[in-house]
Amino acid sequence: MSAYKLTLDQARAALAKLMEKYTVIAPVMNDNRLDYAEVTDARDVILDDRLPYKSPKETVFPRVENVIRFLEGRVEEAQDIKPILLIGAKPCDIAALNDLDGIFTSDKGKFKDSFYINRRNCLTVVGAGCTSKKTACFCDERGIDMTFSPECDGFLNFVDGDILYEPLTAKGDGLFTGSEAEPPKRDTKPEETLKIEAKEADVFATMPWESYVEGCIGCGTCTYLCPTCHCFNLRDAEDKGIVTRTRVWDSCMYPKFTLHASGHNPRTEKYQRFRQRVLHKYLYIPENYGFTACSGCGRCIRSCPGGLNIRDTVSDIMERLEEAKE
Amino acid sequence: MSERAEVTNAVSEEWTPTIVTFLCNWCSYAGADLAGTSRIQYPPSIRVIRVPCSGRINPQYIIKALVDGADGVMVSGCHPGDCHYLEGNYYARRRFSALKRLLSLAGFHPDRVQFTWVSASEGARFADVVETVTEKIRVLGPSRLGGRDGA
Amino acid sequence: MMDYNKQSQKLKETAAKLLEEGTVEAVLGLKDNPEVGWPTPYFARTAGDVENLVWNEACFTNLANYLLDMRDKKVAIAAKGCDVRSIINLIVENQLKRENIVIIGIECSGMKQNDSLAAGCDACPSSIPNMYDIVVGADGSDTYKDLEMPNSGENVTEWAKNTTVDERFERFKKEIDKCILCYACRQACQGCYCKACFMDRKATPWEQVDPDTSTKMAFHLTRAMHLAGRCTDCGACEKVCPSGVNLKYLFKGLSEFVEEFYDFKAGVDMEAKPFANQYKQDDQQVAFLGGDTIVGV
Repeated sequence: MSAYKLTLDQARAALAKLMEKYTVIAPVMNDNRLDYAEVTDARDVILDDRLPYKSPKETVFPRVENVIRFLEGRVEEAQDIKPILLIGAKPCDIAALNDLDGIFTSDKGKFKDSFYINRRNCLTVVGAGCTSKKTACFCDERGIDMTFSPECDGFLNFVDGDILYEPLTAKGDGLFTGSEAEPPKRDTKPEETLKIEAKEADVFATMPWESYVEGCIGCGTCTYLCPTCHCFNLRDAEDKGIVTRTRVWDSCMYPKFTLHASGHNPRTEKYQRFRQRVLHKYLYIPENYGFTACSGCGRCIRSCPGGLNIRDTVSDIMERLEEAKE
Repeated sequence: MSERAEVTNAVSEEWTPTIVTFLCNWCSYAGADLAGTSRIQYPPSIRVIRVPCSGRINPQYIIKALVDGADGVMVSGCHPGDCHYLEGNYYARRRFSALKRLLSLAGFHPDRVQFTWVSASEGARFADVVETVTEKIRVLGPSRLGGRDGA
Repeated sequence: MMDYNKQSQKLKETAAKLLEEGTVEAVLGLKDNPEVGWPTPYFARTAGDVENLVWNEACFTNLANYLLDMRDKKVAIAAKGCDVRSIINLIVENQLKRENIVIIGIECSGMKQNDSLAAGCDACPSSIPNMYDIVVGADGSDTYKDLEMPNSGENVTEWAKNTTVDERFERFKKEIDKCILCYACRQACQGCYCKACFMDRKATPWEQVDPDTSTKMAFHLTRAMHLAGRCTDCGACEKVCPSGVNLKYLFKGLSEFVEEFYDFKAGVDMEAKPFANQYKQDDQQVAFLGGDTIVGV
């Protein structure tokens, strides 16, 4: 497909039109911080090099989702959702969405998650690239090209102050139009260098996990900001005779995450929980699904009050594995 | 200082608030009993929860009742010095004073939370207290909290 | 004026000496972390580790909490005024033993987070810690200079007197709406050391964990209540919040209240009994119905 060139003002006008049909989610300033949020005015949308503070996973995997409601004599399942248009998703976030797709919808997963699929089908993703690497970003080490991602429905390129829109799928076709132009040339994808290729037994008990977590205060910030973390809890709540079953985020960094009904808790220590977080992304998901569930956005590193660093941890593990081989 | 009543809904004369009421077993609950056996009339607004002592009431109960939509909360125990457990209400007094300030800071109308002391012999006073509290909360109108988001 | 280089130097020398002599097992301090943007907690365990310690204008993290993980070991801590207030509070509450802690008291006239004064620093009463074993003055010397403090903090009681209930509710609701219930504030708080927080007892059906408005309100209000007379105004809750929830004013307001009516301030006196663990027969009944005294809001 070819690309369309349009000015920033034209793009905003087109966006205002799209807002009639879609719920538009895009980076906007929120309390002095850039966040993916619902757009109420097309002029608020900020498309620049900055990475929004939180990930856009809430669009497909909300913090609280009503799964089912038990009313008198009938049940009510999840409602219809208005089409959602996610604009300005960075390549790391698109890669993370892809990872979530792999977990919630793929044939490799044992279960297909109908609530996720329902939202995902309603979602159109328009990406936008980064021009520079920010502190704590490590998408290149994770094999992600920060300037472009082909795994979305359309892509916004910035050329000399103008926008070059490149539709990539039928869903993304016709969202923005302008004078036709050639799509820009692409660099080759960087190589995925940060990954753990080992058996669980090689890393589970032999790595100095306790030394990695000295600063951990045990909050759930890393998991809540992570674009690929997807653990959830199902809860039934009753209000005035109506029972609502909701799906809410949970976090493996909480001590009670693994508490059994018997009272036994296999992960009582911080290092055990951090080990689970790292290995889930870098060892268990690769084993079960064939890809590493970390997009290198660096959000967990930047926001951690204790200074925990998943990239340093993984590269330290890689070094130790390398040493052990020799 | 003046407080602007947080009246958002029109308050009808007939509307009676729902007031979650914690009564200590030894004084205030007995006081309520006395009001009943003495056939003293008071508004049907209170929902009584009997607790062993006012010192046993976790501030969380009061907070929970308010954020889940109770129009008001009333707590009553033995008069200071008369506690069945000698000092429970002394601790409660400090706690409730701080709680009242906290709720006020967070924008809950101070009249929605009422603390008082009623002894076992004060049946008439109990009815009087309920009447006063009900009227104070009635003019504020229904609570605007409660119900689950999106439900 | 502050000389962070000299302070760093003194801190490193002191830490190296303590570790070499074997007085302590570890020195708890901060190390540089450009990826986060400010120094993060670090345990120096050998004299060689000491080089990683830093002290600069972004060392606002309250380290007192980390001592709880090392209760039975002898540890030295690089502590500012707020850290020391927290340590005193924890000693008062029988969580720490004074003899196990070597306090390297560092003079501090306010820290910076993202180029503005860090939360809590605006209300800090003094540049000198309330308790210390080793002195690191503002210029790295052995004497404290007693610097002038910003003292620009909001007086919450005054604010409450000049606002309506609706305005106060609006402020509270605005902050609550930002909260994602990640519990970072609780985890960073020196006073929140309960093994099982009331929010974690998922077994009780009336205690919900869904991040809906009423749950979030219940969490923050109850936490504020639990911290009444225990909050040391260090501002850790606001500094770590990933969503920028600023609810410290509730805690500050309660601290002001407790000080005004019960003459108690957390983190000052090591011999004092905690506010909620004591009573006086002539305590004021604040805003009780038909009580003796009706005072305040």
